[in-house]
Amino acid sequence: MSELLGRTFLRALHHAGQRLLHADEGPDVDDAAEAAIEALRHASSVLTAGRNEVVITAGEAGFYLETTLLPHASTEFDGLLRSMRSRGIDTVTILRDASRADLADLAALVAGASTDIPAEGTVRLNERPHRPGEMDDRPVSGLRKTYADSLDTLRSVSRGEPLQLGEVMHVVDGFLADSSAAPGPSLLLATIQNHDEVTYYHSVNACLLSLAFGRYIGFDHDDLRLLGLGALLHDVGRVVIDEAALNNPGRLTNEEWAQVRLHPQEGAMTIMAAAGPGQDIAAAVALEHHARMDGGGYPDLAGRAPHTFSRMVSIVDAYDAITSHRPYRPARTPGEALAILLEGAGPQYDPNLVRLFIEMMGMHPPGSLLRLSDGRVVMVVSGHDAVLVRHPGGEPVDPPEPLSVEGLEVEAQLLPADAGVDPAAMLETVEGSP
Amino acid sequence: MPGANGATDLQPRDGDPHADQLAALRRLLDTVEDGAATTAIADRVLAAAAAHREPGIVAFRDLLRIETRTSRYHRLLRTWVGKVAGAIRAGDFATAGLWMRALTEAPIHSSELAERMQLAMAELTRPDLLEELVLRLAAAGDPPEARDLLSAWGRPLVDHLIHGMEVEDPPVNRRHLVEYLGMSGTGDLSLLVERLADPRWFIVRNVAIAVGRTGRPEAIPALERVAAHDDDRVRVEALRALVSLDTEHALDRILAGFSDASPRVRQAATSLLRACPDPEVVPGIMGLIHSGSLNAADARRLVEVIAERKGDAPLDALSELAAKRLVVGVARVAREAARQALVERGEYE
Repeated sequence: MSELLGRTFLRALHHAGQRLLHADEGPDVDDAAEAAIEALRHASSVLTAGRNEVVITAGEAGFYLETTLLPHASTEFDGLLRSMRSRGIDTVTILRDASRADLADLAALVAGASTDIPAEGTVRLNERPHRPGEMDDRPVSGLRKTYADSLDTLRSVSRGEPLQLGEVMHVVDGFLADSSAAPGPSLLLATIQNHDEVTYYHSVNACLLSLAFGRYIGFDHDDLRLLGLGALLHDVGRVVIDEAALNNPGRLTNEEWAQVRLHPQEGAMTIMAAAGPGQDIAAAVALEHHARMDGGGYPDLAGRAPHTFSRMVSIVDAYDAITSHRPYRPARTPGEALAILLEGAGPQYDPNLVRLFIEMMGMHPPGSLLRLSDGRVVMVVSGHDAVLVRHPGGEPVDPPEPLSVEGLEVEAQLLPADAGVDPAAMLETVEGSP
Repeated sequence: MPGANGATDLQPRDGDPHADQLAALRRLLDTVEDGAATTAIADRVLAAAAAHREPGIVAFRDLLRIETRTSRYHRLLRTWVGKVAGAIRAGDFATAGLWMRALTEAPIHSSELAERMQLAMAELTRPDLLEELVLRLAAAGDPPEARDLLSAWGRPLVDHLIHGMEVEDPPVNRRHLVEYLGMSGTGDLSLLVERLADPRWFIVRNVAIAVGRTGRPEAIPALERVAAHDDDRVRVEALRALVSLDTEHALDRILAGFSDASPRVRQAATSLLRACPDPEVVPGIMGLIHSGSLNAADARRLVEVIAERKGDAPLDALSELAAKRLVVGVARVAREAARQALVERGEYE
């Protein structure tokens, strides 16, 4: 069983719970809840295929699928994990052919929409005692832990808690301490995507990318801290923007577009009103990250050039956005994203910085999934180092086998969804390999 | 720095709309073997980043310019109040001045927003904060970097400082208040000039000192008006201020001070002469002595001023005075003083 199956199930569980929380808000929402429960049933069916039951544990270190730690899912569904633990749910046993009603009960229970436990016995809570000693004790990457901390920090802002720049800086310090001069692991982790908390994950990814970028250019530690802070908070203004506008799959109305265009100044104001170090740079980055080099973009800087850090964040912001799925467009591969950045070098992006960014990332940035001419699929770790993740027939390689892509003929870059591989999930594997 | 994985091949997918871009990317990465070029670009980026100054204040100015929603504008101004007050409380007067100017120099787009700005300024001008400002400035030794802050604050601060001079027991010595008054008037001199018409002599005196400290020659006409003030304590400070601002005519103004009926003014003029670097000081003093307008005490002090100066001209002047014969009155006093000075120099037997 792969982490991907566990993640898919947890994502479906999270979605269904969120839909059920709003199920009484109208027929459209009811339909969405029905669809989400059906997706959960399907994910459950795939997860338990060929087995009598599957146990998911909500442990202190994260989610476990049977005894295997799911580090990536633990980061991505950190809120779900905390919710389950706060409700005293240690283990969930899902029987093969778990009923739709039981799965819906589970989703409602973990989301706080109901206190009913699954009644039909196909989904059982705390039936298996949690035995920490039997669990996978593979250490979770420090980077991943910091990633989860940073998400919590951003979530607290959206809950209306005052922005504490000292806490945000602490997160940046964590990334700096956990990452090395070699950008591979950071860039791998920066491929995490989440469809429910797009802004938070995007902001953390932008922070990781910016720190790697800043290191590549040669900024000193103090500047890296400021750059990381600015990147992590560059979209903080989005928390005050109507989420519906951000996730609108269609064409934005004038009003929605006006809302979206306000997020830089909302972010800058939020940061300026906060207390703590690095405020000036972070406010400037928040305000300027959509300003173009030719004076276009928004807001209007009246001919003033954006700060260097704003220009850097503008590039990593675009890179992460292009490589991520959005409701209004599909994700593109890393190579395509770099090509699009190159096309914008000059009028939109600082050409020097685009060049340096592309040099740092390379044609196949860490996390790129490459289909070789012989049908194998490899994931780039750093430079020419990669791991084989799929055999020519499509079977997964477990554990992934290291290899060099130097001299190999690459047929195409693949999207994670097409390859059936989640690059960020391999962080611990990559960090643990020689 | 190059060495990223640019060597492997990547074929654009069939019908890929970005095929041309990928080809360009390919070409770019093929040129990246020149590490020196990359280092040069990175160095330029580092230099450009270091050249940015006060990004927060720049961003704040932009926000003031582009924000048109009244509620957000109000929030922005509240933030501004916090910035200035915070910097003052931290003793960072230079930063406080930058934030202050970010608002006071901002363009105003509508009467409503202008009114909001005035309200923000009024909120900042709380007596407790102003008093804390004065105390912190004095504790910091009247730092010159506070000038931008004080001059941008303008009238509310001038009013506060003048008030501090009126009370029996000011929070700090009045000389500090005068110093800050001078800094406050640097930007808008009229704030001080109008105070020269105050009916209270001690206020006019302090303001005259402050005007002199501004370094603004435009204040000369106003100072000339108070140079004839009834109170000689005012005239003394007006003379000092005029001499400091009107360098071209400083000596003439000092010499004119000896025609004042007040010994206090003439004493001040003597002090100014001592400090005056103009080589025409000695001829000027000789002219005064020869004019016969001085009294004996002033004549003696002025001969001493000549004697304190170095060079041939003072020696020649003393010798000329000492050689006088058949003189009486003030001229005799001057001659005796000159002879005494020459004796002390070993130039006269």
